[in-house]
Amino acid sequence: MVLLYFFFFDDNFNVQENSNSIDLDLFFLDDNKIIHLATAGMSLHNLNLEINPFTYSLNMREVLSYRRIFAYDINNSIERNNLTSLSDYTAFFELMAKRGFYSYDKVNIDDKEDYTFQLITKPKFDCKIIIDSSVELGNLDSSRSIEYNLDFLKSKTVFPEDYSEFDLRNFI
Amino acid sequence: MIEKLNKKIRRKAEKLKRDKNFPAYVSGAEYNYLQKVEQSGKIKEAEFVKSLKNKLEVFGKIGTKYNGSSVGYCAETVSANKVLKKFPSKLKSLNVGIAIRPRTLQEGKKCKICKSVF
Repeated sequence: MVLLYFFFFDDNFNVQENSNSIDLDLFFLDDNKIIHLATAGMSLHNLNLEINPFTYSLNMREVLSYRRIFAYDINNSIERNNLTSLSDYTAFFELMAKRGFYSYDKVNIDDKEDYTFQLITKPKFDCKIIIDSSVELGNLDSSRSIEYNLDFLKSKTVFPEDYSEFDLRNFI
Repeated sequence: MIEKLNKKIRRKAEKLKRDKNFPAYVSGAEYNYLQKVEQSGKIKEAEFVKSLKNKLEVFGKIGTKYNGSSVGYCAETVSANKVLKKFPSKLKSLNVGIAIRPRTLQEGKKCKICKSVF
């Protein structure tokens, strides 16, 4: 059995106050897709986000339990000057894409108040059904699908689906 | 010695990556024989070594923002505090190691507070 020791926050944990010391996983929903975003210690106090520490922990547990059924594409134009290896860098974002998420990362990890993000990996899926906040993604050719029961944050507008950099504050 | 510390920091970051446990950074500090490797986060008030806290509070109260960073939450600070618990007067003699983001194993730059304090 593999044990995963990812963060479980108690109800008193203030996510905003501690945002500089955690590389949070945030999950958004837009009209076309489900989104995973890694914060790399980005300051959250300037953003209009309500993150419940309890549902945050449940989200992570739920996501890691999903089957990995999707083929995916990787951004092949990543420019960072602080990588040990490209595969180390993309590994976690690949895990997210295999589970159906468009997965984005913070571009400049050294500036906590820089909100520039970039798509790192994206899944290939054929159909998506959203009923209220329940989402299902599937592959038409294999009849396999995943139903997502997460506490998604709602995006203000559709997140970019190409690999260009963007300012997160325009989308949430 | 610092090479050995940096190696320990990398090993700890790799373990956190495997466990999918993602603090913003992992770093380390050393004095003499003692090396400590810790992740970014809050230090309990009762645990804070006074000499370090005083130096940090030049930039603002613990937990407030200075130049975008939370004062006192860096992995370097948490590690240094552990070393200073044993050697409270050795703040000026501490070495601090690299800072690694466990999710991607990227190496981060030191923030302005850490550059000044260590």
